[in-house]
Amino acid sequence: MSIELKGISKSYNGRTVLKNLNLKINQGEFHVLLGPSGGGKTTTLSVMAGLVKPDRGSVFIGNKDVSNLSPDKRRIGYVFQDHALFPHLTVFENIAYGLRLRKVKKQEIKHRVDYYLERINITNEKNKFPRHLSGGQKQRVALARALVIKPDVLLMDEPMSSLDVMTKEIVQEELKSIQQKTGVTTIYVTHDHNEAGFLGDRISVLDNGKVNQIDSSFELFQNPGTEFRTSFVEVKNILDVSPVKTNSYEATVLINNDGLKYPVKIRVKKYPDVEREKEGNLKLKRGQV
Amino acid sequence: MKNFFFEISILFITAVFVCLIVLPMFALFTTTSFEELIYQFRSPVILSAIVISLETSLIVVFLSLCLGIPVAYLLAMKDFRGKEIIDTLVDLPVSMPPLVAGLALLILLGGNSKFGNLLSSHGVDLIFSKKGIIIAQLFVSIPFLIKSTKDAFASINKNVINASLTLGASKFHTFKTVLLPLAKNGIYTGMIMTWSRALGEFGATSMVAGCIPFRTETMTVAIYQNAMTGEPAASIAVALLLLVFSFTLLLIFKLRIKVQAG
Ligand SMILES: Nc1ncnc2c1ncn2[C@@H]1O[C@H](COP(=O)(O)OP(=O)(O)O)[C@@H](O)[C@H]1O
Ligand SMILES: [Mg+2]
Repeated sequence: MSIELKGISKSYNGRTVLKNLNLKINQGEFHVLLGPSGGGKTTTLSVMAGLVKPDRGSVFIGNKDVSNLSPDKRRIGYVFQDHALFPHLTVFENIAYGLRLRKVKKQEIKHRVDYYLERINITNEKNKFPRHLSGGQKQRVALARALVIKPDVLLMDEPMSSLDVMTKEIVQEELKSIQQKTGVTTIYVTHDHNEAGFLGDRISVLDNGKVNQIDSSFELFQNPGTEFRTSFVEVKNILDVSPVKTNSYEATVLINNDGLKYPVKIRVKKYPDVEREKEGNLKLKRGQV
Repeated sequence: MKNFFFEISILFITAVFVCLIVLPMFALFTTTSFEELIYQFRSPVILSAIVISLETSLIVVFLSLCLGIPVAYLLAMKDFRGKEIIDTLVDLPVSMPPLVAGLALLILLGGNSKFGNLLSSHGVDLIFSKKGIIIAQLFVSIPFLIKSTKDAFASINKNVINASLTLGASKFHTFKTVLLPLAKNGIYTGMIMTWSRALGEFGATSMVAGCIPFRTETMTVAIYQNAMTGEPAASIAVALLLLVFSFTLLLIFKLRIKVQAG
């Protein structure tokens, strides 16, 4: 189903987090919501799920206004940043939780949970408790738990942030293929450009309480919008960049790395910390951009 | 040399502390004989005090669960105006001298107050009755359950609760299947502390319920009564039993903490 936010505003103790936000995500789309930390991404998902009540605006799922529905009535699958598995339930029972609530027959529960256990390659761990799982396994269980109830919309809040690079790539591939297979409308929150480019059918950027740009990933990287702030880009590797404009404090560069398929214009802060490597190449460290 | 004196002083002071606790215990355990104890525990008035104490304190534990868990939930999960006030009310009975609490209850429930009159005109007499004991014990001991349970609820990851909600569980179902099981240890700890406080309660109880043998005489009241009326053997017998109870509770408490930590 499609999901739409209409004129959502939210502030905490007088501090505005979301400002008249409008966002429409189509049926079956894999949508990435990109933005700096503290930019209101989690708040946006919480509003969609009904966990946070917006000050103004409404939420539509399909053609239905769900603004006044409590979270348990919204048919949403939510994968939390910290997995949020039930610590007192086994892997099997974690995944079965939503099905038991729906009074699904025992046999059917076993069938559906087993399918996902196999799908996410975790069958051997099904009687373990979450504290005995690795980060990647917890992540996959959280995904299975959200998907097994066949939600109308799947929300994922920086689900890969605690995974190492190797695991991340595997889980990303898996996620992409599961999403394509189930066709569930997905909103995926991240602050990682690489991830956004790999996963998203479309990407929107949330900054300063507004959706600044909403485009296909291709367009986003081709034409970064005017004051498109990228202070949240995490640079983990040495990037192959070519400076466009530099002064003693700032540099605007184009990234031509393999991981990113398209050049990105970023503004480098604290130019003196940026080491010149080769002609046209800058070595960037995490947090410098 | 200075170090040596420092260490010696610390040891000496510790020894004073150990004596402070151990000597009275020793006195209590050595002044009576086994036969004397058996004889005392056969006395109907002593037996009745033991039964009344166990009965009232266990009812108090049950009531404190019924009243305390919802209050703990409210304090841990909700933000509302006046929350600090309720928080302070929870602390109040602990910091208040039990005799003062007893006096306050006596004034409220006694025949001279409107409320007390209203109750007794409906045939409910709380003063000098078992119900009075229960109310007095509940007043002083329920904070332990509330605080322990509140901390347990508050330490649960908010997103685990949110996960239950988004998976389709109502708030009540989430309370039942997520909050209660995860707060289990905190609730048990609170129960043990509440029980041991109720069992040892003397000041408020004796103010409200008096010391009527076979009716309102609890173990602590029996200890006081018998010691004051020249029946030390009976006092000692009850005191020893009470000690056994509290040692057992303390042990369970310590073991639980160990199990949780390990
Ligand atoms: N329950 C809350 N109470 C007060 N402030 C909050 C609350 N939740 C979020 N915020 C604030 O709102 C802003 C946006 O938070 P969040 O939506 O979590 O951003 P993001 O997920 O993009 O990092 C942050 O400044 C955060 O401190
Ligand atoms: Mg967040």
